[in-house]
Amino acid sequence: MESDHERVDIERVVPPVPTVTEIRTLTVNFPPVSGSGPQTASRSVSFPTDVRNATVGITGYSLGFVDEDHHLGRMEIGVESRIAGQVVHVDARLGLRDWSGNWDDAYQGWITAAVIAELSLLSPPLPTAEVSAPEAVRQGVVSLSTEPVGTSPPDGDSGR
Amino acid sequence: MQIAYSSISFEPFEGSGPREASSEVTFANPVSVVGCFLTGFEVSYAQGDGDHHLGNVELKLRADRLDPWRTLVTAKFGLRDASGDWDDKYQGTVYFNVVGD
Repeated sequence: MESDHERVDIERVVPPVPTVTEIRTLTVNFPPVSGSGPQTASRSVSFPTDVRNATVGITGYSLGFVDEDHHLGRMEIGVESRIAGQVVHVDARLGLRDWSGNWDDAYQGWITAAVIAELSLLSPPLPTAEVSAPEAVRQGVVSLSTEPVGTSPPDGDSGR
Repeated sequence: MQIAYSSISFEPFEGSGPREASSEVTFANPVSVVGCFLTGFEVSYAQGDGDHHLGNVELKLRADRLDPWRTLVTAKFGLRDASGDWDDKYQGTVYFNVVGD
């Protein structure tokens, strides 16, 4: 009878892809402008390894008319993220206007945001079908009992 | 980490504020913790009623995990000037994401 200690289940010992989560903050500035809106601007954040998943959230903002106050008609801000390898691009928009004219009052502002990114971790080579069990043990990917095979089965039966 | 995106819209309204509305998001896989983050908003006085002074604008998000797959996001939103008592029609849309792990 074959002992469980002699089998190495490769599928069982392959760990899930390791990841780490990082958070980076950024600021997008919108200079004074009139005549159009909302304004758009982009920023990029680089990470040391590939980004598997990411999103962005607003942590603060400022927007106002330039030099003088006006009635409020509409205000809007927004951020969106795009993943490209090790980079997360953040596209931001900001607009402020009253309901007279057509974006004819100069406005400006900024948005601060936090990028939450899930990164791939570099990991050692995983055992394949060509890698023997002793080699997998040597690489530290799996560990086997050091107890002599078949000498002390869990049920106390030698099985022989 | 799983991410869901959604939005909540508030139709033109007057007479009270701030207002609350909710939206449910569903994850493909179960999560044990959730959080929601503002990704944008568009707020305005109803264009047909003209513009007004800005007295106060308020926006708040809350995420409540209903079960491992479903999360209820509630947005609180108000816009008013300092005259009257929420007597000017206002409206808006709140954009957010929900991060679950």
